[in-house]
Amino acid sequence: MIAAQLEHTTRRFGAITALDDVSLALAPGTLTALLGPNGAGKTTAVRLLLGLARPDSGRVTVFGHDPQSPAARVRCGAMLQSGRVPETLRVREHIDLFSSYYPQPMPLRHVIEAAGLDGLENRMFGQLSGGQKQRVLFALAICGSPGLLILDEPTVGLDVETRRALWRQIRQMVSSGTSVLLTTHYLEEADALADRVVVLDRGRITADGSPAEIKARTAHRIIRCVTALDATRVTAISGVDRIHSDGARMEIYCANPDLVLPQLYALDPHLSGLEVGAAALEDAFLALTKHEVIQ
Amino acid sequence: MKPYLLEIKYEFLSLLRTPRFAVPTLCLPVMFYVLFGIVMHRRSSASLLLLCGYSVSGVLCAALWGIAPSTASDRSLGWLAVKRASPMPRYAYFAAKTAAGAAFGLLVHLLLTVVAIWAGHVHNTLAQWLWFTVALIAAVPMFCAMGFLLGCLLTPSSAPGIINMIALPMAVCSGLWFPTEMLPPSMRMVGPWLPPYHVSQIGRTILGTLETNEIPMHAAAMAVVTVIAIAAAAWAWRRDEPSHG
Repeated sequence: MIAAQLEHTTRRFGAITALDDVSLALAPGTLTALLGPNGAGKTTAVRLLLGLARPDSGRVTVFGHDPQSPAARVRCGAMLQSGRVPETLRVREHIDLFSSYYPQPMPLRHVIEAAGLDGLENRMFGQLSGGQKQRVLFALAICGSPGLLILDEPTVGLDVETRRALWRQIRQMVSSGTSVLLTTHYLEEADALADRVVVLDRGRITADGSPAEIKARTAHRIIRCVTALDATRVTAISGVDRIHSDGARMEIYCANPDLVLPQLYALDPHLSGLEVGAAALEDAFLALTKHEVIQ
Repeated sequence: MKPYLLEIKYEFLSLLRTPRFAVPTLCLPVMFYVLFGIVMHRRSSASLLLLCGYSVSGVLCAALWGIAPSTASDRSLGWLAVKRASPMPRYAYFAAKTAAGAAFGLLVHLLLTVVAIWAGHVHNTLAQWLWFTVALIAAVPMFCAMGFLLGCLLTPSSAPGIINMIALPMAVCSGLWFPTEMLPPSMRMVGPWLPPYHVSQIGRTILGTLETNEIPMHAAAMAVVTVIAIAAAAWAWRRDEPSHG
């Protein structure tokens, strides 16, 4: 059973095509990370899956139902970026209200524990810190024991410790069979959590695979070194895809370092601080959405 | 039924815990009534007339201030999207805001009535008080629809200013704060075109400060305005909802 599906979905806003013939199926018990630069169509995809927008063409289903139908919504939980949450309600009251929307909600105690809100149940929402507020929004997303959990940039603005705590809770939801769709700007987050990474760029899927596959796909290696050479001479070396220089320190992206290194040494025998490494997901991501780098 | 009841309960609690709403909504009408209706007027007829006006304006202001600003910010700042994406029953949001706004309005009416009986020496029958309360309840859908309409059209920052610009002249020209007889003729002419005027005229008839009985005409005017206000609010609300069905 597929948790949610976009089939040849297109959504336009005036002259802009936010999603262009996108097909995507989300399996239960997996975490799919949706990556892409701003304006790539991530939020549009999320809004379509939650029934907050309708496609111009194509079909969107959640557990086989229309996303706007109650049958779909009771199996969905969502954490959206919200600027205004009623501040004069207590944490426990917010959870109590959202739990009442679902036929089989999690017991309050479990929600509080799962979202790491122990001891904060009676605090007013307005008295919480940024990280605590995010955890309450996470609690509202999971309180209905959803089969599909949609998290739109859940850890934005969180400190490292809180972010990692939330990651643990997300992993728990996945291992209990929930299908999770996560949009994020933090590539480290996608790398750490996702079973599958889907890269969106200008409304189209440009890559789809496991984090390892996405990294392998660009087959990038990085040569890091300190060199007196200027950028144009290094870019001209055959086999170099692109470079990133920061003063004398340079990062050279290439498919085959064995081919590039001898040429580099020939041009600059005094080259130092040499390191050769595998590209991170971030590098693969930049390579897959190259126009953003040029901008 | 449970989500509706909880939604109403928490909307009411949320308003009650917001001092910038609860304090002026509950205290100002009572303070002004004590000052202008009791201390400055020793006659019970004036006291009764102002009681009627302040009760109507209490219901009007609770509906506008309780609904419009929060709806505007829920819409603009993402909280409504979170609610809409959840399986919240479709009408729970309206039911909660309407019930909470109405509860505050009727609370103002109750406080004013207690003060009027205790210190204003007004003498009305229980039936008159009850019918007046029924008239105020009948005005709730109209005032709440106006609140939703403003909440759907305004931004959070513009809402307070615009609500004041609408509510204050409306209250004055409808004769809620002093009798229309004291207004200049040009302002007096505007009254019959304003929704609260008709509620106030019905109230005054019930409480016995008007000689004429034009309740059917005023009730018809209220019914027409209620239909228009609900239709306009529904239109404004749908502009925000997902289209392309």
